[in-house]
Amino acid sequence: MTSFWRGTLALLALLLSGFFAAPVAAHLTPNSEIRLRFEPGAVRADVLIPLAEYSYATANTNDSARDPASLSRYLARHTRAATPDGQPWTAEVGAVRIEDAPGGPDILTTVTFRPPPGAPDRKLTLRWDAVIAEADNHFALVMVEGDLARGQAHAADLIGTFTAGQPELAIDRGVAGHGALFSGALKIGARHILEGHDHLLFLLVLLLPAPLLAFGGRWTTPRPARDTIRNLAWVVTAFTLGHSVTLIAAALLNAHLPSAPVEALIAASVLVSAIHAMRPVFPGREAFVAFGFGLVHGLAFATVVAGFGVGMVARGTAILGFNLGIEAVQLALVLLLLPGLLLGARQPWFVPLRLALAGVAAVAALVWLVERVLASESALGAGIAALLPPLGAVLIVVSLLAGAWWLARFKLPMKPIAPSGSA
Amino acid sequence: MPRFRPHGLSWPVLLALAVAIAIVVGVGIDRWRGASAVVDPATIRAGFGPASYAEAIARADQDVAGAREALSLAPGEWTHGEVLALALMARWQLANDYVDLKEATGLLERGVADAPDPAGPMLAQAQLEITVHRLDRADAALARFGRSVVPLSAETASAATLAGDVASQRGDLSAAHDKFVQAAQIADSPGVGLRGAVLAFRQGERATGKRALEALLARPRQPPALLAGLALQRATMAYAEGDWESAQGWTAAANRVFPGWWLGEAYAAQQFALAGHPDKAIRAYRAIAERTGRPEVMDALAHLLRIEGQGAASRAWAAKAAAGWESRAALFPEAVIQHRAEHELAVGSVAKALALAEADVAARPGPQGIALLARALILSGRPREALDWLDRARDGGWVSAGMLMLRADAQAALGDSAASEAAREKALAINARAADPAARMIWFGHD
Repeated sequence: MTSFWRGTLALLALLLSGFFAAPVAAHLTPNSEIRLRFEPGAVRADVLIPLAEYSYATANTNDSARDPASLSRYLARHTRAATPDGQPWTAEVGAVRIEDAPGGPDILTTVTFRPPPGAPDRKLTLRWDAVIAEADNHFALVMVEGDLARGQAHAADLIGTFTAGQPELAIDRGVAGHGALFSGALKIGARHILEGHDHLLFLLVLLLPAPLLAFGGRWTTPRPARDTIRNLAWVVTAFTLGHSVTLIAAALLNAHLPSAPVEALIAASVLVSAIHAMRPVFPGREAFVAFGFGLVHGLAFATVVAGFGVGMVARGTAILGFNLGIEAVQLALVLLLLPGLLLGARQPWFVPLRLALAGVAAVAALVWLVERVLASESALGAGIAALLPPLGAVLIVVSLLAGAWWLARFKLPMKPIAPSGSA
Repeated sequence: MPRFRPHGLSWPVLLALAVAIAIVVGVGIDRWRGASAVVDPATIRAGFGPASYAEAIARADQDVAGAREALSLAPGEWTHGEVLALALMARWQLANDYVDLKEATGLLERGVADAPDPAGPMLAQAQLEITVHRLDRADAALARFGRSVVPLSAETASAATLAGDVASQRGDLSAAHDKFVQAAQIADSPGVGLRGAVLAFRQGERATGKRALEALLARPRQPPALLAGLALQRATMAYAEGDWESAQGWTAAANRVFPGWWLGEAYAAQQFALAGHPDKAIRAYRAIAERTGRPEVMDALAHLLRIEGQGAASRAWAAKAAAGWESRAALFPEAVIQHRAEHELAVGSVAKALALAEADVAARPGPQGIALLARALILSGRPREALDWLDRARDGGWVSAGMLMLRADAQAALGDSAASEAAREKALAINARAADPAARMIWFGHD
């Protein structure tokens, strides 16, 4: 064998190196998720377990794994909460359901944990080994999704994972008095309406025709300023009363309403009000309509306060804070837009502006209505969601500039300062 | 004599012109550097060599028989032993029978013992030791080769390439890069080019890596087995970027130019799952596993069955795969330790996976081993240690969406929402499908 052939063979072998073997990797399997909501007197855990992982762990088939009763018993066996010194909390597994998801069907339920009498309700040791007990390469991601006392409604705040090596987590969310509950709920209320474009748009289209009088099926001359302010006050008060009634009633009765029809009704309320802002549909009866639609909007707010705890005092405190948060934002919005409405209504450009804004609101409402009825999202909806916040900001800036311009017209009489020593 | 001055062009205009040209050239170079590779998988054509896996096996059998006969005629000649060892190693690449590797090991050890230092089959031995992940023994073989008085240039290139492989497996990507560049300067070999392309891709130069690999794929008259292997490497790069459509094209190309190869068929089975046909994928995996007995395919099948919720079938195939790995581990424990850790993590026990991954990383702290260890640590409730290892891989220059998703999981386990989200976003910037539930179905070429 010549050295030439040895060299050639060495190179040839390199061509067939380990690159042609199957590569290794840390493969992923679907994990469970536990989303905790801290409420006065209880911790609720919204649980998601991939059905396939449960089937794999328990040697069920996907079909036999769907039995809600056995699922409920299984979950009850694999979860436990206790105070830091070991006193057990109660754990109640709610209705178990199975829903399709992009990665395959998921088992969904809510487990409600309650502390023993006298024990703090924000400090616990949580143990979880569902699926993990049988398949130690499964894990459950744990996050706090709602914490009323911290003003947290939906944002996920990761706190750890349950694994075979760590089946327990010590959770301490601090101490929360009624003051913290109130201010937390106030923040949630304010944030909820600020992020709820449909509520704000509804309010805007109710405000648009407020400085105008209807005549002959059209919005015509401006109202006097005092009438406009009185009209606005009635509309806003009626809306507040309406949504407060249903919010408080639903919250106190702990009523759970299907959100889909409520959301569709809200979109319809925006559409009707937008049409009214273009051409008077119910002139002079805006306050009644605002009250009626307020009842509907209150049902949507009630879905947020459904997690405001179990004790009546704490619940009442939180609902009050939440409602005041909503009102504070509404009032601020009305005050910010008031100068523009009062002054703009007397300008010729207010007509096209009103029609354009009402048109935008009507299109948005239509898109939302279709999306909510069909339970699907569209690019148009995403575009509207992107458009509305800057549009709102522009309207507020224009309104404030109009107010500043109006104030600048009133110059205080100035007395000239006499030069010193001239007296 | 009056100085030449361009009519009407003052120096500020010239300066602005120069800046504009520099910008245009810069943008052009940048776009060229970042341009996606353009080879169409449907256009690649193989050249000489066995046209199918069956033919390649037959040829490998012939080569082994011929080399064995040559050795029998001159049993004391270590060069004949080396040729037989290389033929056995080549057959092992196709058939994966570890008995071939065992015999090759014996032949090479005998050759090393018989030949006067520094002569002997040192490069072949280094390559075998790298294949079975015994890096210290590979080092020793390369050191002895280094004492050769006047090595051939091809051998020097091979030695540099093998030294690069050792560095890469140890996680020293910078040293690996230097060695591959050194080898490439001596020999224009697809093996060296492939290593350079894969390393560039994994160091974050993804466009460069893809372009370099496609340049290899576009070369004319390449052996079908080599071309198919390169195509699967390109498919792996496509998976790393979430480009499952391209991966499908390259997988089909691999199976077209070198039909019957189990690995190409396994990639194709995987594509069924990604296309939303897990039942078809299960049938295809099962057929390959039953025909070839490859534990890699059994693991892929067991994993897919688990994802589909077929626990009993998953455990049955996982047990068969475990037996396959155990029998290989009896011959070459280091060679299959990562595969065993991968198996235990996906369809076995985390405790076993952790022990295997720790042992592997202690000897060979490369990025793939670190990824396995990090996952095992996270699942064992030790995310802080996982993060330390992931830091080490990152500091070594390894960039992948899979590693970043592991980091996101470790940060999540530590309760750091912001860091977890940041890592996840970085992963998604590399691979927009990194968090797609269907990505779990990628077994071959997953990062």
